[in-house]
Amino acid sequence: MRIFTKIILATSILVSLSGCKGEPPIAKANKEKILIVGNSNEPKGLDPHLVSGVLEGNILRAIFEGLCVDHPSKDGAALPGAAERWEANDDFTIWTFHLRKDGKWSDGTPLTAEDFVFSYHRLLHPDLAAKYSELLYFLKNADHYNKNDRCHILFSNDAAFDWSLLKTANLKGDPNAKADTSKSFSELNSSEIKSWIAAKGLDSLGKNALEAILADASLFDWPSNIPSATRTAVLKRLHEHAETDLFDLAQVGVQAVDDYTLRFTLRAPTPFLPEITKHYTWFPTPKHCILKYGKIADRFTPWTDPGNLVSNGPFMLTKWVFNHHIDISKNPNYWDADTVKLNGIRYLPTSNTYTETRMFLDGQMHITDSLAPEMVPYAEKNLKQFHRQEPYVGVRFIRLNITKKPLNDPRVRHALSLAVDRKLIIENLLQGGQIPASAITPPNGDYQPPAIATFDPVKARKLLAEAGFPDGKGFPELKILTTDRETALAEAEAYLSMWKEHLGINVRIEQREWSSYLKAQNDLAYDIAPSGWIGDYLDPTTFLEMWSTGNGNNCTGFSNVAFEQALKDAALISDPKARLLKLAEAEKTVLEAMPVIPFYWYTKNYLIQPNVKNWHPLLLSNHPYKFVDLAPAP
Amino acid sequence: MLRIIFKRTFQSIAVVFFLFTFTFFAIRAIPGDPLASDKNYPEHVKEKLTSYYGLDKPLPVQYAIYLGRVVTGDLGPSTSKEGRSVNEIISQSFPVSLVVGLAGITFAICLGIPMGIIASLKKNSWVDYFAMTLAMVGICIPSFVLGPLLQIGIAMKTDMINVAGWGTPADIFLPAITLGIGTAAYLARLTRGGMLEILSQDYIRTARAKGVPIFKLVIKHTLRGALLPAVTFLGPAFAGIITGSFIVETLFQVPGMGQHFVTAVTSKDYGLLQGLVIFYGFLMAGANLLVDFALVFLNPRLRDSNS
Repeated sequence: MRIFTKIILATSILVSLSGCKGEPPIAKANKEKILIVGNSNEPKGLDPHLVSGVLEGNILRAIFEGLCVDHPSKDGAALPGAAERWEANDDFTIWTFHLRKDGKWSDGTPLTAEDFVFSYHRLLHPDLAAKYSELLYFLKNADHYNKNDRCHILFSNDAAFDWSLLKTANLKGDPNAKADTSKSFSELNSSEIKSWIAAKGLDSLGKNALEAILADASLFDWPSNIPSATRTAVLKRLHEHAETDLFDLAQVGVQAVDDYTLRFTLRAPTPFLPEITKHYTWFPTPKHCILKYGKIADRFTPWTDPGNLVSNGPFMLTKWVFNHHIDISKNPNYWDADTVKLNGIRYLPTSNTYTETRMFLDGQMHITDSLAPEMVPYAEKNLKQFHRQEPYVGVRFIRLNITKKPLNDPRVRHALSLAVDRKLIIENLLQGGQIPASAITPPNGDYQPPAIATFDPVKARKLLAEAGFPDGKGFPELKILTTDRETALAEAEAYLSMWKEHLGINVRIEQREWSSYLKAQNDLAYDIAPSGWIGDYLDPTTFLEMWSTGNGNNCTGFSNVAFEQALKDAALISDPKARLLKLAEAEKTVLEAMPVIPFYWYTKNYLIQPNVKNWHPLLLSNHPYKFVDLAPAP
Repeated sequence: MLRIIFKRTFQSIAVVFFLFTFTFFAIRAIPGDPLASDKNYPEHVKEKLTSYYGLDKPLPVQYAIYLGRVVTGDLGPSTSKEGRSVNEIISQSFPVSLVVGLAGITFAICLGIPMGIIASLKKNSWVDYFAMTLAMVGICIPSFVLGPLLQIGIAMKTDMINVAGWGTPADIFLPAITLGIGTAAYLARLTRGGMLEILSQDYIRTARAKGVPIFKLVIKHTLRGALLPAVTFLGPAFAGIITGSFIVETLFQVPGMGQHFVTAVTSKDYGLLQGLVIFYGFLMAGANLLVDFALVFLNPRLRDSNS
């Protein structure tokens, strides 16, 4: 048995040796002024142009800096960032940002307007396939360049071509043409060429294909009223510019007037543009660094690796251990380095919220990402000194597939909405302090959403009877699609029981795992689906534009002319107050049709050590780290 | 002997190939979309990404391309952890899982085997009942219960051990215990069973009658034969334990490989899942091969029949 005694002895020595740390990690971090934060998961990357999440944004906001930065405590206020001042013309369509002359990248290179132009060029580059490119569509012509509308770029502004006629040609490809578009032109045999060209459309053709059409005109079907001289001219010009970058010709509304002056030409009046420039898609990226590791539109080159990444924010990347932690440290070249109190921040990928809470209570971090809803009542009672509950710009809603019977009847949709007792579910089931939603857009700034979604079972029954289902008789059994998470299931069960109780209808639960749940909504292969939305910036449009016809996030089949007209009208109003009123009118149109049932507005529950200073409630939860400080622990 | 090695190696490769082909088509048969995202992005971007990852090509073509890449050792890109290759993910996360797994299996062996030996020597006494009840509890208690109990009961009560994380050497104890406890329990039961069988043999009675001390009797005469079932079990258990566990890794925030098995399926990351399956397949086949050799070494009867 001696061998076992030895092992036990060795183990206990090891334990006592490694246990010499004695003090919790935050005690050490307090001394070193390092903030340790829970960041919910491993970031998918740190290239501001390729990521699309909130957790990546938390890190990007610390290492990069946009034209304007968030105020530590005031929502919707923009402080000078990379720009020291800015002005707009009377209708807010042309904005001029004056960059500060002492702005530098973390390697000491001066930050110039060209870095911004390069950054927007890259984000919009059709070959980069950036998921968040739509956030730059505020810039004039950005959409055409990003969608690679080559004909539009080359001919719409040329008087020699009749654009209204030309745009009737097959530009974007015919979805009915049967061809394997995954093949490249050189892989095709002669019988496939014609259908392949039809499937691709003029905008996507390369040099080879255009040459083939120029040699054999029968390969492309033009609308008959386009004269043949025009056809050849079009093909020749397309060929001349084929496979080249059309950024300059596209006239995207961003221009470096000089090294320190940046001018934006917008597609519509945007009085809230400074608010938008705080989003990471609008950050500058270092041209010299990105081009060192690859071409402009190369995805995932090593430029974002620690040691390579050059940034312009208050902090810079020092260490990134995959799935473990990310360390950033104070950037000595930052123009406002004196304001920055912290020496660094450590981000932990805390995917398990229960573990996160235990780590916090064991002194392993300063701020958690979130508190599990069922822990909130406990925290309110026992963790008062740490617990914070704050409104967050997000909405939980229930999508309805309005292309399906009987959900195509607005009365049925309203009946379903009126039968949901939001307050009851929140207080008894969710318990996270959520706010019952009477509309889609959470109230923010001066925007007051219309109050239409309420609880009124009597009216609900009446509407259902009017729709032909008195007391739910004859109502078909619908399915409610949820994810496989337990909280989602509990929530769905709450709806079911309310619809059963107040309307007398039966709804069945269908659970799917995450990605097939998403796919079913995209394909409109569902009846009812609870889902949610988090705003990208503080303006109602981030919650409203998604309900336009054909928007990728609509997923309800909703299409309404009056709504879209109201959105368009609002976009042309330059008076901020009048604009918000118009948007409220647009939202009212959606709510009257009720393709989605608003349920609640989000709150954020988390734990924070009392010695973290300047961490105030913010609707977007985009805390500017440069103002955060750590007081010596008591 | 050499022929057996060749035969077994060839069999292992065939198994891995079958596994690979099956996974390739099975994961694609599940509804879902590797490029799905909770916020939908524009259609033209989706098209670009689909062709970037080669997902627009017909299935047989995708299979051929992928197989060609795998043969050269390139497991391709991951779609859910964009910008990282599957090779990179495995090479960064496997060493961590290996360390935790080795610690876990060491813990299991050091606890399970002595427990089984003691229980068998004190058969039907309170020691035996106690050890076997403990083993039963060890088998039955799931790691998602044990883990939090250890976190609350040990980590939060002491300054020495963190609740979760992977920074200090002490961080290995709780994950290793959580990971190894089930294996320890199995080992205890298997060892006890093996020991009891051997202890009833005539040659043991002879040895006892000749006055061989109990310690020598166990180590020299009994253990070699008694450990056979435990060793057979240890091979696959070892491969399973060193590839990590989703629950243990997310619970203790260990940057290991086990969590990727689960996230790869839920996010429909075809490349990552296939890469992991191939890797796991090779490990499993390798571990089984080693067990076969170890058994030949431990059991002279097998050696005789082979030669």
